[in-house]
Amino acid sequence: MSRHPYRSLSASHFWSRAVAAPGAHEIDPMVGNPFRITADDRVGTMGSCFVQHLSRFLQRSGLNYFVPEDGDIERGYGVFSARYGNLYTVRQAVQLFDRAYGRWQPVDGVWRSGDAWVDPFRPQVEPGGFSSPDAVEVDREQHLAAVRQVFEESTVLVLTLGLTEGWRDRRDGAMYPVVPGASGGEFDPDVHEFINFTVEDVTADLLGLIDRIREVNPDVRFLLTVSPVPLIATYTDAHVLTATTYSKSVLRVAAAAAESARTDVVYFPSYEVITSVAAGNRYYDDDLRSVTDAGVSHVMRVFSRHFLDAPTDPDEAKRAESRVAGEIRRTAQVVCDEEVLDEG
Amino acid sequence: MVGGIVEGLAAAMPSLDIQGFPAWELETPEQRTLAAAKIDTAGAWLRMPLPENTDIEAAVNPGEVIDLPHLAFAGFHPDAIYAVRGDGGIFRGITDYHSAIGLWAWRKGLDPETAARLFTPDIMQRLTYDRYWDPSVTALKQDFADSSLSFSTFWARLKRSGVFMHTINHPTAPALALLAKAIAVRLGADDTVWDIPTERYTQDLLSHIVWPVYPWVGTSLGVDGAFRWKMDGRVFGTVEDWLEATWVAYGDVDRNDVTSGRIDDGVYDDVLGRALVAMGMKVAQ
Repeated sequence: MSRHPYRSLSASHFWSRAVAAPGAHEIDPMVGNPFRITADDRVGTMGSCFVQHLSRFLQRSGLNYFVPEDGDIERGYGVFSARYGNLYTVRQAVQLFDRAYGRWQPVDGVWRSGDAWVDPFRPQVEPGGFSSPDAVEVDREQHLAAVRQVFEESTVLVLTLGLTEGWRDRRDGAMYPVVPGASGGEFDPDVHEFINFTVEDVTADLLGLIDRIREVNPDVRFLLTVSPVPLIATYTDAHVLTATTYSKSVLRVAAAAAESARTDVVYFPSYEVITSVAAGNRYYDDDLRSVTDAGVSHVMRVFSRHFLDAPTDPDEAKRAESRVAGEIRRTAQVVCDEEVLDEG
Repeated sequence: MVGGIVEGLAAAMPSLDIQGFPAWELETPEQRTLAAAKIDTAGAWLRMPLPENTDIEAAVNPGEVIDLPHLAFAGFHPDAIYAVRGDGGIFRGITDYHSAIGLWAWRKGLDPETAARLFTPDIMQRLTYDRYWDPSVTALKQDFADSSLSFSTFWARLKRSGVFMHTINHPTAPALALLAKAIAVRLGADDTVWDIPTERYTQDLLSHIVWPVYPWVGTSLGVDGAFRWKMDGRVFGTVEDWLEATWVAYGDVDRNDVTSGRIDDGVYDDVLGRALVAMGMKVAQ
């Protein structure tokens, strides 16, 4: 038999063994156990909506889901580690850091929303909005203090990359989570513009974010994921499906670049678990966008296997499988006895 | 299963003359003699090797004998079991299938309402109900190795079809259609037969009994689940309804006369016993 470099590789390197052969629920695209997350860790979360699943799982698992800005979940508390709402683009997260540490002050400070007022950078966190511009400001100060805690005190920070498309203020580049006018404020084409970030933009932003956070928290470990939730709409001229592929591809490449360029930055492949051809769309709901509980459960199984300090006893697992195998053999032997009884 | 295989094979190879002999048509000596005569002159005999058919096997000399797999698979239904009476006969409730958790609870003298509280994700995890997939695949693969059919294409297609079993040993119509395609290839059909949608031409003759894929098990396997049993036309929409009907079917059978390898190995006593203690209940020995 000829020798070549692929012969010594493990099963995870081969599509036939790692993707085609296992049951869809068994696919595990994570290679290795980069680090363990224990009950002593403070795990912070930020990013797009998909990271909320991980937040809930962390809470259920008895881990320390770090929420320094705590309160009623109906008012957006606890959804992420601080009440920042969805940070869809990495640029938003970079600007959040700079605002939290007084390095940058956006021009836009407050939006009108009906009779109330909202924060342009998290316009949906307060149901019904705030009563006055001052109330927005007071809450923002408290919020940014909590954000600093998240950056400084998390021992693990989970960052889910969601989108490359977004809207920003032409005057200073301030990124909004939603287009002005949709959840407060007014859209003004002379002030607001659409942007679709390139892979160079996102990579630079991601490395910049990691470096900023490490300035205030040198030992923090990063766990990067890409949201598998497709774009709800694109403002580019492309079809929403190709726009989604572009967006997720850029984010995935940026995550790989950051993992390669910085230590203790790990990419966790929840995107691949949900979108893999082996899953055959079974992890998407009828809208082909929302991720199902079964998909989330699969992601969390893989996450537990590689990051949590609760390894399965291999002997116990083997005993269970042996017991099952014997029983299945016996079941096969009674097939037709049972059929006779049923037809009788 | 015989009906589904015959329909599937007819759809895959319409030129064949196929006759099926289900077990209930092999009960009398006359039926067996008639079947043996037809098998003896057949070009091929497709059979599931069973001890009770050795007389027919000895009496016939068909053109070719093709052994079929039994197609049992417990991965979707880890709680479904058989049980036996003290005299060795199959213990029958609403049907021959029993819930292992339910049967354990009944033997302990629990009422259906209390027993229903044992159908929790935590208990199913402790009973390793998410680990029946791999050994089921291994067993199915061995079942095929012992048969005359090839496993690989059949399995690659089967596992993409979602929940392919109604119970631990009742395949769905699409699964039987796939088995029929494997048989067709063995009989000489070319590989394009795999792409003919014969499942559309195959009635689901085994759906009178549908054991549910429990929600937690379904989530673990990436398929939909629900506590909804269908037993000979009756549908039970909750665990409690199902258990109440089961308890009625069990009637006044002596609890100590019913055994099952699954629930007699100590694991259920341990896991369910602890759960009852946690509920503040005493456990009968």
